[in-house]
Amino acid sequence: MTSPTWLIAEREFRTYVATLSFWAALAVGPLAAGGGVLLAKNPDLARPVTIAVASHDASRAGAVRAALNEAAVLDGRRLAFTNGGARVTVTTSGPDTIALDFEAGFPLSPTGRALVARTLERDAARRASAAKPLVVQQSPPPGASLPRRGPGQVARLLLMAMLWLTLAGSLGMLLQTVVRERATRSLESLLAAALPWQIMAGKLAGVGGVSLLVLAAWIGSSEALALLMPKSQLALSIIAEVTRPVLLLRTAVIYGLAYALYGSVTVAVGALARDSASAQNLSRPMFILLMAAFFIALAQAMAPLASPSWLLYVPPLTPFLLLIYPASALPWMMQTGLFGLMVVSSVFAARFAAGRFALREGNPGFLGPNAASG
Amino acid sequence: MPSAASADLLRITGLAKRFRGGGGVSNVTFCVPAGAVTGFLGVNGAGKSTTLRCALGLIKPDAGEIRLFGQPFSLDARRRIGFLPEERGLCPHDRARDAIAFHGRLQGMGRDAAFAAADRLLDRVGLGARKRDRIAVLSKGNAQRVQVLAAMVHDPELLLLDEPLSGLDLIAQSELLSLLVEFRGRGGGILFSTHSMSAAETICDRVVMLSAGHTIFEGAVPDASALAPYGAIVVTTDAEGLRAAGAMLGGHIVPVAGAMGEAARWCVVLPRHITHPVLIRALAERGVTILAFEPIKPGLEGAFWHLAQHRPLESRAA
Repeated sequence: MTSPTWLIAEREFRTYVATLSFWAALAVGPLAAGGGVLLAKNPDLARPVTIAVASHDASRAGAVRAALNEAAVLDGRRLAFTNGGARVTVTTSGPDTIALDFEAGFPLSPTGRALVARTLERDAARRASAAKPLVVQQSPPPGASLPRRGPGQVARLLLMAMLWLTLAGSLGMLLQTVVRERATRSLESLLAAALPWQIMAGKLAGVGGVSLLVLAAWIGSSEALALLMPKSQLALSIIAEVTRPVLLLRTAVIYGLAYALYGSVTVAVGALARDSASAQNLSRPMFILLMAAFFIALAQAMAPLASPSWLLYVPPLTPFLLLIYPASALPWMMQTGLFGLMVVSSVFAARFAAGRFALREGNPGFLGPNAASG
Repeated sequence: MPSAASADLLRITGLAKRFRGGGGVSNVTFCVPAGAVTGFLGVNGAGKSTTLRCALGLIKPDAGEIRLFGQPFSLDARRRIGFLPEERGLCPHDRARDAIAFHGRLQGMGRDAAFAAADRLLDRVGLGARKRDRIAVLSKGNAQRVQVLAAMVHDPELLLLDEPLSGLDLIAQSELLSLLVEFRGRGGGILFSTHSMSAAETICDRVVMLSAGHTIFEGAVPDASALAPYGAIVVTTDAEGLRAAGAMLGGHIVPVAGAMGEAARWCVVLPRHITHPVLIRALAERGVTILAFEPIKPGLEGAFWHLAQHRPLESRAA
């Protein structure tokens, strides 16, 4: 005999997977990733751009070439210096002044051109002052601060954005299925054969399975295609970061707990509502909270924080902020407490939702007319 | 399936459940024996659905006792019941066969057994060729048949059906009733909630009548029909004239329903020797405007209105 929870989960999963729109949504990720690869493989971007630097002064031409190379990084281009190609002419217009004349259509952005000028000025100033090599120190020293830059941060931001995207999509599905079954009274058929918590867990698992499939397809295809990107060191670094087993496991736990918390609240909202209109009204604050959580996490990621924010202890924000903070930046005791907080919040929300699911009063919702029609 | 003995599959005694917003039931008592179809009759708001939900344990009653198969309510006993909710409660994306098997598996059947039973039932009602059709593309009648099959797939001993004929045309009703008669023939007990007195007269062995949350009758259909009064249903704007004419002929009037604008529907109960033309003549002589006149047919409908008249109209509409 199969558990009612599993049966309901399987049915929810099949209901969504059987629709054409599901496969369309599933294809969006790989298609977008494929588009990205095609863009990256665009010969205009991947092939080195040939540049000719015309100058009577060989050392000055060398300095201009070095500055152009630095600026090209900004534009995501590689340069090859030859006698042909796009031309920049370097002329001396005074004892301490040179002019750069970029020909029309020269493949460098205005910002890049400004950077070339500043680089030349900086290098000339250092040569003139015979300055010693400069050592740059970071404050606070690495390890004591929260790492904020580099592939790790990009990976964490991506995972946080994915969590938001997954929740926003799956909670809508969850709300719809609960409201539909209450409105058609098919919920009563289920309640006649299964316990409220089994139905709720089945729905959470079924819709969660759909979201997991979409998420896996998107992340998997994106990573697979990113590996094909030519010389994208950043992409490779992000993949290496995201696929670290410890990070993956931590992320999976955070995703699961976030889904359990928000999903349970959604089920409760659906159970309280009489129809889809009242469900949408009731769920609006939750989706606003979800949106706020995303932006708060984004702001935390951008801010130069030296210590973890108290916002970590606000349960709806906890999963988003935990994804933003690297595991190494938070004491293990604190992390254990935060995971415990998420578990307790999820269990509390699930119990509340299961209670709303039962027809204790015979009313499908307090916002609608009495359902005890006959 | 039990033998067609007279054992009560469901017995409800003194059931009461009041809702915060009003409505519910106050004192419901009846039983559902095996091998019989018990009609559960009452107007909207009488408490039929509430009673069925209490019987299934979906709602906790305020008072009263519910015994299933001779025992106090239990989840195990609930597995021996097939339940059809009032509206079409199947997932529109499900295929007919999958929907039936799903409910069988929910009730504890194995996967293979559930699908085999679904195939067998669909073949029996002539839907075998459409078993892979989604519920959304089936006609309302066929979808309702699938819903009934979903309630029967695990071979329950007791069927609780909430308005199974709602929205069905006469042919679909007839097919559905045949299915229920077959179930009864195998010794199953059915509690059949309906507004349709004619359907109840066609299929039911016994009836339970509910009015304003109270049981007003429980017994065999012929016994109920015999309680129908003699007289007529009259729609008029002149209640006083109607009352006076009825009294002059040795009868009395009782309200059947609330006012429709200025007019109201009344049941005029007459002594058996007073013919309908005599009543019409008496009304005409008093200048009573008659908007509609319908002799009360001997049957469940007349009996129901007669039995329900002792309940206040306001609480009937609750």
